[in-house]
Amino acid sequence: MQTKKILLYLLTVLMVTALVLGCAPQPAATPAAEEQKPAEEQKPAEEVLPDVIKIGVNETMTGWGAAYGDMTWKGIQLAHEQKPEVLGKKIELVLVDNKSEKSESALAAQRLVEVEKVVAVIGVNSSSMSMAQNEVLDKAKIPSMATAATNPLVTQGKPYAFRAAFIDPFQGEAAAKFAVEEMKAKTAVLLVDIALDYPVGLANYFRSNFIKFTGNEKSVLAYLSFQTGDRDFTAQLTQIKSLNPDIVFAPNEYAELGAILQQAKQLGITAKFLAGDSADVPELVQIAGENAEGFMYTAQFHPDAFTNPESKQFVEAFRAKYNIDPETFSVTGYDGYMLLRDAIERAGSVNGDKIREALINTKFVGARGLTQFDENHNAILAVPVIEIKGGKKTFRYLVEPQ
Amino acid sequence: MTTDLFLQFLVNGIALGALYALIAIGYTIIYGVVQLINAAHGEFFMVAAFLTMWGVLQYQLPWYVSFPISMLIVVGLGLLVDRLAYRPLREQKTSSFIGAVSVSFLLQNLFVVLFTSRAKPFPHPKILDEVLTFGNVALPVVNIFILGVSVILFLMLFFLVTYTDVGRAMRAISKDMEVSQLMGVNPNKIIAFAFILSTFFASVGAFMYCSKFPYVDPFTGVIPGLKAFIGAVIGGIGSIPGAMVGGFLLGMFEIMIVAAFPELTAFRDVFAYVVLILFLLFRPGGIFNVRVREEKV
Repeated sequence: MQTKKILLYLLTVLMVTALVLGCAPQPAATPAAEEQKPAEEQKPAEEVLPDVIKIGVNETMTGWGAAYGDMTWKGIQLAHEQKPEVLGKKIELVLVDNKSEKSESALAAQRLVEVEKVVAVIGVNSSSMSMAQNEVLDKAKIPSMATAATNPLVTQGKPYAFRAAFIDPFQGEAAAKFAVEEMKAKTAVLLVDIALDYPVGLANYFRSNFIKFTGNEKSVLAYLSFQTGDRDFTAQLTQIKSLNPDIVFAPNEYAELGAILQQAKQLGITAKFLAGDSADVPELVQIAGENAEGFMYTAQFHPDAFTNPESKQFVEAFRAKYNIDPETFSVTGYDGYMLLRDAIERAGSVNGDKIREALINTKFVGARGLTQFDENHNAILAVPVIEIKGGKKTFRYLVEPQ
Repeated sequence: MTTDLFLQFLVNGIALGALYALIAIGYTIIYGVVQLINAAHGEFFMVAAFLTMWGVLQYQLPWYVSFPISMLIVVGLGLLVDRLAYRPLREQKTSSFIGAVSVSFLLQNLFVVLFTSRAKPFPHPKILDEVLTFGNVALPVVNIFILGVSVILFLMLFFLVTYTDVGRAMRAISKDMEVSQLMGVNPNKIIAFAFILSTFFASVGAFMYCSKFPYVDPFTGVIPGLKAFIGAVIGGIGSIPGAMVGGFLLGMFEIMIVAAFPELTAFRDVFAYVVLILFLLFRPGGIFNVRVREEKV
């Protein structure tokens, strides 16, 4: 317990430093890379590749994020099965579990670097865990490919951090746009788990965009909060009932969302509920049952949303292997692996800096169409909006990136 | 605040309070008899909920078969834990508390390993999803059920402790274990009985809690376990009416604090812990002012 506290303390210090540094405009990203170059030129490209190329996978296999971790891992495994080699060598995946805890995530990353000697890391699906991990990986100059983590801070100011997902400023904008233009909402209430980075960030982006699109400063009626692990939302929902907004934006974890939807129905709330891509878990509908009817959320993927052949191939292979439909987490795991493998192939090396250069110049057609990274290493991708209809996930709308 | 709104908060608060009270009873029964804070109580609660879910999901049992079986398993588990972990440490209070904490982590992690920690829907009778509405006030059937079952169980427990031999023996052991042994009371039997009662309350509490908040994972017991413990301390740990009142007040307090300060909803746990600290500092005996027992050396 004591060591855990110390670690937690150290991690907090790290994260605060990260936050402060993250705010500074463009840290020493490019200079660092340039410094590296002369050294490489002295050593010509006679790099000896290892017999087996190790890629780390840091995921939330247990703890509250277990469902997310499991789905992500399924996607990664399918990609590995389809493309098990790079540069003529076998790829070995090293899976570590971070127990859905920030401190464990940093430790897991350390283990991948120091003990397993991986050349790159895939994960984590969670923004908070990714931030903790990237602190370690960036220092070690190991490229990382976060999966469904969407908070901007995951890659900001981290030259070696990339992600296979769109980010929350865009997701929040897409959700607000959909709410105002398609659902004709004029007022909204936010219901947010303030113990996690993802819901807080996404809710803020939604709020500013909702105000922008409605043109009304007071269109967001209230910001109600709770903490991870809470199950009784009747007090917050009773407030919502008395405010009577058009929509409730609640970008929380799927199990909590299930409980929220059920309690909202019991209290007779008629407002529509809207959430983010963390809702994209089959258990949500099982937990909420009929109460999930009409619930909508933005996601990274829906089998009907993308029409390119790579997408079709992915959906069919995933269904054949697991007998379920792929969703947000498996697609980011799948694309994450493919993007990284493609970059290593083009780099022709397992050197962190070379992989990084190759990743920056990515033009890869994955399960969500042409995938490129913006200047902060975030994937630029379209946002599908999904509605629960008759207990099924139904593709409703696609918000294209500008 | 309109009357409707206030009534709605009241309905919510009563249900949460009754749930906390029911779980708090489990702590207080054990503490009253052996002065052990059973830190694994929340895990007995979780195991009951988890096995009920598992029976339905994996073996297609109806809930009314799966739940009694789970309850029996949990009662057995309680007896086993008492026999293997608590009884050998009974003389050392600190060690047995540490033992209880270990059992708690052991059960949590065992369930993570055996069943993964993916949250699963909790199967419950459909009738509990129904809602009665009175004007603007919604009264979920599950709330009525929670209150009804709690009141019945409280009355039964009160009768048991006050009027039966085993109840008298429990109270005797609680007052002085050695003297009651001289009077022919077998403490191990009575303590085992206390564990049966405690795990029974945990199981019923788990069924109702998860019917209201319809999912379960290996960490389901942590938060309600902690809250109920605070409730038991507020009421006066070791006292049965104390646990009822303390648990009930805590649940009511958590809802009403949100009603009064909607911006501070995320801080309601903070309020709960502040209340706990204040009670420990200024009235360690709780509302019912249970006398603080002197450690016997």
